[in-house]
Amino acid sequence: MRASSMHTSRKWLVVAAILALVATACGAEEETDDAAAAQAQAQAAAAQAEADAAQAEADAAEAALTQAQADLEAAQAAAAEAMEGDDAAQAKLSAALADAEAALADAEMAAEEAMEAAAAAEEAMEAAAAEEAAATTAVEEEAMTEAGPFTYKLAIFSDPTTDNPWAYLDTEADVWNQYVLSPAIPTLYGSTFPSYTVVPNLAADVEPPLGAASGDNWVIDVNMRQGLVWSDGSPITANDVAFTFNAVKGLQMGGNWFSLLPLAREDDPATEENEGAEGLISVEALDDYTVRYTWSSQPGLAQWQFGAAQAAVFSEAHWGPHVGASGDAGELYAVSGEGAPSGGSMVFDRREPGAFARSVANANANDQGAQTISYSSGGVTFSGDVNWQVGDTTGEVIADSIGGPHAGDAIYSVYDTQDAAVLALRDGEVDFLLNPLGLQRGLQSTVLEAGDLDVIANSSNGFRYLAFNTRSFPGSDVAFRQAMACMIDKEFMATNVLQGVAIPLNSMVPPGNAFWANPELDAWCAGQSQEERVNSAVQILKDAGWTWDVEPQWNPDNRDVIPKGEGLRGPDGTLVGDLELLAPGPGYDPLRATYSLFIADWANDLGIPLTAEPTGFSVIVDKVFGPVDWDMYILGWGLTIFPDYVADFFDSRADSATAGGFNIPGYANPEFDAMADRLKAETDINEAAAIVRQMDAVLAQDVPYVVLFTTPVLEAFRNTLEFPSTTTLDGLQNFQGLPGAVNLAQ
Amino acid sequence: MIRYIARRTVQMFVLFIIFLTLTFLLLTALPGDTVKQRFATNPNIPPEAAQLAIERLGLDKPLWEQYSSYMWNFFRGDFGFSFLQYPRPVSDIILERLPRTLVLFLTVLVSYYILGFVAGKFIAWRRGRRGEHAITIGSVFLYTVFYPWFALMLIWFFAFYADVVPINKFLDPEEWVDAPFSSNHVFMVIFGVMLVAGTVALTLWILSRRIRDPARRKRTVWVGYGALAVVMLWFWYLSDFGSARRLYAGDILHHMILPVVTITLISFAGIMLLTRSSMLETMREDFILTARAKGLAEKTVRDRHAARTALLPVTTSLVIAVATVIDGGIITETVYSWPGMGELLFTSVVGQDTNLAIAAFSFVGVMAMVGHLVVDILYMFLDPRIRVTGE
Repeated sequence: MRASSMHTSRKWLVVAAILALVATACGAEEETDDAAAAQAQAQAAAAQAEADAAQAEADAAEAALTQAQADLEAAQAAAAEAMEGDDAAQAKLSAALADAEAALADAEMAAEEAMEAAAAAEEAMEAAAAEEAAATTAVEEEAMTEAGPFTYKLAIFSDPTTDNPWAYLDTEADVWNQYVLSPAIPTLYGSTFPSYTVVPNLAADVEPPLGAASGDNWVIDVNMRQGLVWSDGSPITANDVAFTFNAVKGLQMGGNWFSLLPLAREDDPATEENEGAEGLISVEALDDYTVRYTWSSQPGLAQWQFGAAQAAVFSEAHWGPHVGASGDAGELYAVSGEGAPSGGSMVFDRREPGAFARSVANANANDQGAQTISYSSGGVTFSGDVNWQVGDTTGEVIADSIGGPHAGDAIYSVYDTQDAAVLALRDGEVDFLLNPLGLQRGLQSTVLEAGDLDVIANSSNGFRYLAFNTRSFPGSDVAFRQAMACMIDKEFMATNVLQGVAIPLNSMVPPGNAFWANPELDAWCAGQSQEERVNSAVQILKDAGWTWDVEPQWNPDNRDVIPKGEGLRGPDGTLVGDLELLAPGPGYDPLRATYSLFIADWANDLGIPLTAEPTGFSVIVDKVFGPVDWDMYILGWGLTIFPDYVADFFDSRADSATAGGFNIPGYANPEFDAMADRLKAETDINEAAAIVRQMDAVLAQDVPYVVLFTTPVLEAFRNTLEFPSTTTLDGLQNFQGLPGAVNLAQ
Repeated sequence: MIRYIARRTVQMFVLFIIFLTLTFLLLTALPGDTVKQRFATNPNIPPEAAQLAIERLGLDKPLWEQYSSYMWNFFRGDFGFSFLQYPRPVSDIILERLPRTLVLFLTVLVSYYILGFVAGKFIAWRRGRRGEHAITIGSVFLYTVFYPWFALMLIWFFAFYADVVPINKFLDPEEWVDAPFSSNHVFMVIFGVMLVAGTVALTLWILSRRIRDPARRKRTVWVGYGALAVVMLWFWYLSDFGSARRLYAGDILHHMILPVVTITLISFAGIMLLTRSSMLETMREDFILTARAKGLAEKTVRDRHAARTALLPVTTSLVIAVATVIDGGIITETVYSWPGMGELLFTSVVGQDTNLAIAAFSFVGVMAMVGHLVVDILYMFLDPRIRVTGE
């Protein structure tokens, strides 16, 4: 038993020894950054101790020398006295003198050695001090590196699927790739932060030139700025712009490239009705700094100012060899973009799949130190190597920024859940939560518990809506749609049911996109009580010839519709059968799920036998984009600043059932189609805005969609960071968290 | 035996074809497709672009053509490219995810099997005492606790409040930004070391069984383990290859602590109860009575007679678990931001990345079938009552 116990103890001793070894080794590795300084300090301290000891020895030797001299003098005095004594005493004296002289010689030697040691120690001390100073300087420099070009740490919630910027604009068009890759991509023109005003980047012309007719075509020549360089120091030229176009065309790239470079495609179905393909025919470099765009006809805003003028530009020198003769875009997309020349503020540096991505500051970033001022009136002024002014600059300054990058690098860490990311934010592991959906409202208070974190709220550029299938009864009847719209009390839903989480919307262009929005649009039956809504909806239907077997009545005593409508029939006597409202389930989006239940209930009051069906997102998409056997659904859109989507969503020639477009309700209105054509051809932004407002008004009347609500984008970040502004449509995430502009707060 | 294995292999192959076919049909039967999911709700991308993507991914072809083409390529070792990470080959993505899952879940497996077996042995021996009740109630409570909540609580406490382990992920980005190796490479090194060390330790243990003198056997085992530890220390601290990767491997292992602890706490009860019931059954056997009658120490009866026999079902359960470990755990990998095979299976199915999902499922399927075959063969060796008959 005892032997066993001893044996066990021995085992534990062995384990403990191994653990101690590991711990010691681990401990030795820690604090490697300060090791050099610590070592130098230790050396300096040792040298100081040595010097002190040597000095003490020197002092002692000097004292011994003094003592020896005194002894010698005493001995000489004694000798003089003894001279007068006997021989024995004289001999004794001689011996004493010899001893004293020897002691003096020894003392002198010791003093000399001690002085030499002291001098050597002093030298060692000086050397150690110099080494310590050097080490301290290195540490200080490193500390300055951390405090100056700091690391901007962002949390993202999905792994970027590619590190190739071409692929990101094609098959890999997702927001996570955009966050990581787009800060390295230059464009001729771009949307400025925070007002989304179109401003020049690589272009020398302040506004995108409109061009002129040339034969059957339309030609636009753009002058580019000289002196702008890629991150590798090579100049950015018109050849790069032309190369990008030719690569996209030659490799038949799709995805976002369709919108960015709307090529004249020979397989375009629209061309069957036309003599030639419509769109961008060619892009060529007239010289190093002049690029020519040739169009089949004059391009509208969507094609030019908000399309090709804002298309990505890639370095021909770097990517040219990868654009092979095989004509396969996949070969190009397989090439890593790590370290590829950047024309933006950051250079994409590294991707560790599943863990993080990193961009580093572009040391050759253009316009570093330039000042950009944005005004509430939409205007922007720029002062740097060039100076320009765009738009009306009479309003208040809403952002004033100095060209960066200020951060040394940006690290995008992947978290799968917001809960973990919020803990990481509070713990200092990340500085900003980058998410297109923003911070979950429930986590806001957790973030704000930490004193060094801020949460901002911005309007999102998107909406969630109820759509009718206008191809079949009863959705085909405008009165039916209007009555439904009238019954939906958005204010009640936003305030009482959804507790302020949702913001009611009445137009296709959210008010946050102020330049394009139509502020005069009101919801159907706006400001009415529930009783008034019921009465108004009944009246709308009656006026259009609808009838009931049992007409719905508002009962003031019960404050409810009693009896509810029954046997609702259309103007031609067709009975309204069972209808289905497809909406995402509460697990996917509780707001839309809740809304669908209320809408079904209000419809039932009117006698419309509508049932809300919580349905998977993919199922809804598959069903409504495919065959037309659906009645109503609730989904949402994320939108663009230039609202040509209004045309895409409702142009009868873009019917999803027949043309595979985005007009899912199958709305058909020739007047609207004509406006859509005008919008697509319009080249003046103010005229275009007027057309969009008209289109919005038509849609508000015809109600193919009932636009329901939008939600604010909440964003959380550390308040040691400073952004040029924190107020912008769709939040800072729409500008990728501003890695090129963020700075440390003063 | 060889005929038996050959027959089982043919059966497995047929089963695998059926498995692949069903997986393909089920995945393609899902409503919508990957292009619709990605492009249909993005008004920036016109319908022509979606059509181009459909053609590029081969989704415009008839189903039977997609199926036959897929099967033909699959058995030639070409799993195609991922729809979600076009044009990255599926095999590339699986090879990226597999080591992460193997390293984490093999560690977890060993950890909770050892804990479960030891605890099961202990409570079976102490049946009816307070210790048994306390351990059983505690472990079953953990076994039934709502896992994501429990994991988040542990993250909050150990990673955020106590700050002793990292919050999620499998590495610290700031440590890795200038790393000369990819994390995948380091995972492979860790996995290799685990494999070698595990094999050596197991071989040592098996060989030591031949030594009859218990004291000498124990000494031999411990000396062997000590030597193994020294070799490991030499590898990580003194060899150029290991020392260059030590910091990165250490970072990964540091991030593994919390997931391993969490799953071990949640899962060991199952093995514990299995061991307990097996032990209790064994303890009723005559040979245990004989062993006691011979005057052997209780510890010897427990460990060398009862526990070894009770190990049989636990071993077979372990082999099956090893075979299915590559599917990882969706919840674990999501809660801990540890993107391995479990998360890959989930995202590929949800994103309707058919090529990727089928290939990932096929790995799980093959491993599960091989695992069952190994169990059957193991049973024949371990349990003398089972023999292949009718040959």
